[in-house]
Amino acid sequence: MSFFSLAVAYFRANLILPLGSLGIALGVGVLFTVISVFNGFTSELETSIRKVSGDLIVKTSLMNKTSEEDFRQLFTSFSDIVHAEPVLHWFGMIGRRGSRAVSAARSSDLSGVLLVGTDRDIPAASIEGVTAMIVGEILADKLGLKIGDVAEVVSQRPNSKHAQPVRHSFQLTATQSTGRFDQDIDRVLVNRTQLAQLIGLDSNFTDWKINLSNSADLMAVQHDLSMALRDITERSHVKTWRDVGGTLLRAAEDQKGTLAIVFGFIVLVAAYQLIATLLLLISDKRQDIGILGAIGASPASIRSFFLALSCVVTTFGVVFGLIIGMLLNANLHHVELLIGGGKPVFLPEVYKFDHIPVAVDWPQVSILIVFTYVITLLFSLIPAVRATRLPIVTALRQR
Amino acid sequence: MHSDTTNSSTPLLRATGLSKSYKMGRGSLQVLQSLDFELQRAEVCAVMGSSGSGKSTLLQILGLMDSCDSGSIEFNAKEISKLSAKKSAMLRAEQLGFVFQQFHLIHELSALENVLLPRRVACGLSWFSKRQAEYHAARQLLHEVGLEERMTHRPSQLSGGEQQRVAIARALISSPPLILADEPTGNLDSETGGRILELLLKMARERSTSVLLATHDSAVAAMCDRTIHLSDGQIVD
Repeated sequence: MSFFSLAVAYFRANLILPLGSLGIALGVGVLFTVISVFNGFTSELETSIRKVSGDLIVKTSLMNKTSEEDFRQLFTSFSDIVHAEPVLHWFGMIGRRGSRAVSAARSSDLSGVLLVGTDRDIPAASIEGVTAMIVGEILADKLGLKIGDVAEVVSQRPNSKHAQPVRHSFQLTATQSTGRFDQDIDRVLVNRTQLAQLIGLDSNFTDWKINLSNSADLMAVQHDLSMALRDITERSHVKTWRDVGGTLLRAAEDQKGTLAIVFGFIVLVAAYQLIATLLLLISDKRQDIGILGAIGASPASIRSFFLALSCVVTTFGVVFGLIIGMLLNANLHHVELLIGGGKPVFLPEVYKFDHIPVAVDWPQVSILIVFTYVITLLFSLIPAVRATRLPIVTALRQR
Repeated sequence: MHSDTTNSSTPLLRATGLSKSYKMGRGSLQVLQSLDFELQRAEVCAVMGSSGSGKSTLLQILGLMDSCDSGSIEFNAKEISKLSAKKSAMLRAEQLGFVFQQFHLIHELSALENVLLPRRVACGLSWFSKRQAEYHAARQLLHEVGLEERMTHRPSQLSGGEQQRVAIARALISSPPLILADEPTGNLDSETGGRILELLLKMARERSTSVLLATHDSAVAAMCDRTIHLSDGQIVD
């Protein structure tokens, strides 16, 4: 401890040491930003998945005989459930009216879509006998549909011995952007009752989208709800939002882990170059090591001094690194344009955010700081031990 | 700071049969040969001899900065030549003061911080509870050596004489019973050297501190209580 002020004095007087800090600062800064961006990305993704799917999804079957009212009564008995919305999912194919896609269908001209029957407000169609629909902006772009245009949807009735196709016209009355590519490329939102009638389904719901209170324990409610559902139907199961959007989220988390390892190597290399820096300093300051020995510094004290020096270099590196990271986070858009040569690296039509999301996770930052200190101190042990092996008399003779 | 619990009639320092040689290619150079030496408490003794006579080696061995091939060293009637590195360092920090020809100050530190350095080393973690008193003592010493206006100056901003004054203050900060001075005026002009030596001896005598001083200058030796002459690694009269 008593050597810290001497170490600070050395740090101020020898340019090579602040340069060592700069290497650490760059590593820490970049890693801080990478982790923050990926945390922001996964956080936005989580919000987006929960917004679309709800916290829990109760999947039922078309063979299910339990009424919508029975489900509602069950859900109201759960205090953690704040909202339950029935949804009807069905599959179909969509193409523009008059296009070759529908008149002479070829698979490449049609888009497979998920028909989503919902209770949300859908602007009414302006053409009689045509049903209103909302599609994702990406799907609308892909099909070349504008508000007011009509598209044809081809589907199939269930439970028929022979395939019975269903074909119906839909008018695009609005588009939506969920922020998720997979949602905006293949979803067609239609009034739930109308969809059930068009397809000829007995039931007008296949799923329930459940929202829980903020304090609810997701897994506990999933378990309790699964048990309770057994009393009213055998044809349902409960999934969490992680089960539904988990693959995408895990992919993002895996990507974060991979990039953290890659950029962690920058910190590792910066810490490694500290060995060279300290060895150079020892070579340059042999006389000082002799002086410390002569006035009574033990080998352990000299070792402590070099470790204190390493701590000072690391501390400046970490502090400047965090400042660099925060500055990068605050100016990510400019950084993105700089890297992309004036164009955004994260394509807006794919990622659907108007800014790069950033979320600083301080426990993760603490791990980053501890990791930096541990590796720099470990690497500093080599020069520190070497300094203690220098005989005092030999060191004092150095000019 | 030193405490003396031994009988005042026993010598402060006693070296018996000290020998030291250095390997020189296939052969070896004998620097000290079965040297016997005693230094009394509060005594100022000059070690004279030509270059290569072994003066500096003797001081380095007595100061536990180097080891001897054979012989023993007693300090305050305790054998110290076989101490561990840690105990040797502790003894140097608390019982010995050093003044070198080259001053050997740390250039990154101010005069005040250089004077305080032995106390930082000796105190370890207790430094923080003692720092007020230590700072006071260091300022007092710098005042005594006439550098009260130069405390915050770095060695590069001080003259040779001023640097050696800082080194003297540093040697005295722990109030050691013994100061080992290796040609303390060797890097100074005769006028400055004379003043520095007067200062060192005055301060040592005021504190009853023993001084063992290596020099090849008979004028310097004349200011000491006793002079021994080294030749071929042995004391000659």
